[in-house]
Amino acid sequence: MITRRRHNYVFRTHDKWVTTSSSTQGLNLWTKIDRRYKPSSCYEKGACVVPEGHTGINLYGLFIFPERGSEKVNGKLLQALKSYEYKRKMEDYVIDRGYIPFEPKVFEEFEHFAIQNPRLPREELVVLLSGKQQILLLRPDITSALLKEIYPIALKEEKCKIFYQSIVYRNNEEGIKEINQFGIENFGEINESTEIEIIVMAIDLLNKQPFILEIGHTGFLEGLFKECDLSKEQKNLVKRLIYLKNSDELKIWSEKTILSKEVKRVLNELFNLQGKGKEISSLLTSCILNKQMDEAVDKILRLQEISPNIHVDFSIINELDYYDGIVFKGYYDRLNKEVLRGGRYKVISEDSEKTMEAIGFSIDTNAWIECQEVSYK
Amino acid sequence: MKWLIIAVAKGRLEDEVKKILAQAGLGNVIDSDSRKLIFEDDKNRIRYLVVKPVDVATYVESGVADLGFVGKDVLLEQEKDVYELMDLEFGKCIFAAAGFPNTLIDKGEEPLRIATKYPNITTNYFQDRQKIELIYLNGSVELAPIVGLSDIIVDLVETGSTIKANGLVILEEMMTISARVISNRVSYRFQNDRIQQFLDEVKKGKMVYAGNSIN
Repeated sequence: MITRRRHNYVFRTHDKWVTTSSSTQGLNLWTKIDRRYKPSSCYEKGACVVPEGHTGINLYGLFIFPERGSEKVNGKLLQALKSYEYKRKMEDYVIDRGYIPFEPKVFEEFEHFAIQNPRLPREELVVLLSGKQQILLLRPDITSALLKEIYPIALKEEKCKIFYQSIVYRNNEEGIKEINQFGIENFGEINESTEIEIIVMAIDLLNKQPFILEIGHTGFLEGLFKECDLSKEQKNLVKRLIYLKNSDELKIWSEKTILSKEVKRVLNELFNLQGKGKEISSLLTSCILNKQMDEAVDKILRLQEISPNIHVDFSIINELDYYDGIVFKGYYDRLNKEVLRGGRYKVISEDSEKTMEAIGFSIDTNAWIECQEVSYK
Repeated sequence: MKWLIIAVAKGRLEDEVKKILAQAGLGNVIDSDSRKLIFEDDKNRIRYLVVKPVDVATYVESGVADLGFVGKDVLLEQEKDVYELMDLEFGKCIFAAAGFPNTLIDKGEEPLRIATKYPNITTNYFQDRQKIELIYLNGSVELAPIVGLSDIIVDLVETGSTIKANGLVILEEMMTISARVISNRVSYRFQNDRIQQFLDEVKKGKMVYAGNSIN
């Protein structure tokens, strides 16, 4: 179809994307193509202009469609196009830094997954039955697939950098929820320069809008726990209260528990150990009770020099317990929860006692995309 | 300066929250007799949303409100992902299991039938202790054991008069409940200074209200 309107068009030639603008008549457009872009192949081999708002492909693999901004492109399709472009941007950014794409499998074996993840509530899992009556799950997280498929490779190669752009499935009150996740993982020898690399990447991916990247270290609380003799249940309760920032109940708990005066003081100050590192440095120093806590504080204060958007939080607690070392969460003002989360952890193989260091983060893709185009006043 | 949005639970807690805010020097902008749902304190740039108690945590979790005043009962039942920043120590009451005198709670293999408005709290409480059969009711739970619908009830007990009037007794006190200040997880970061300042003022108001001296 040839239109008489003025449009910008995007063309795919044999090897690249190009744009051109039509003049008042579609016919001129063709002439332009002929003149600029392999005229005979385009014209004679049956190039076609597709109706506005559609994507077309001719016999020879030539795409022609109105460029974005054309008034008749369907809003939903435009949104899909934008979303696709943002996802590509994320992917290009990490590919440039040597990360390899990883496609996790859609199905997990129920038995295997349930043993590996006892704490994930069963009712959240989306269960399926195969033709052979085998119980399967729709991928509830990426980590399990990563450990099964990538960890053996990483062990063999001694290092491995991967990324994923994927969906996980969970049941909730409304039905099956699809959660889009983008993430990177770096396996191998992790040192401070790897940590800096990951934090810089997190910042680069967040910095289109005002953000806060909060970092903490699991060594601080673990070090504090070493100073007191607590049962597993007590530790879980304390972690839960810290996660909720529930200082009043934590105070009541610490008053009625046998703890040293020093530990009580640190627990009392715990929620003040957050914000800009410089402002709390003397308070932080006074709360260090052993070498492990000292190293944690030292590391975080060094890392927060990377950007003024980094806030420190020594009461940072993750829903999942597997982090070991630095942990971080990224926040945008307009969202109601963190958009990015990550940290350092150790991977332990199922069949041997080998362990491997790893660090990575994941981003809630849809929430992230939602924030990329918002203008802030 | 950005508005600080605070959701306040309508009803039982509302009057006491208003008294604390007045003591904290934050004025008295919430007019309970009005049919309005939003009240603005221009001077302090605070906007109050007066909502049903069960909705407070939803407003805060979603980020529509930065802070909220709500009972711990609602927090325990809904388990929303919000921070629990302060115990206001008023609006105290208890969660209790009640029934006819001498009703056995630990029945062993046989499931205990419990009528309640709070299925989540009840399930969590009995999880590792006793098999239960939940009967969800919206109100007048005291009726359930009388008409044979359940063995016991689990409910919030303020004075205990309703329980007593229906011939029931408290079989077990489960936990104490009071009013809390909650915060959205992102507001806690981006509005931290204002939230801390507000909490300091509320703390002062709470102490004056409780009749303590704050020299």
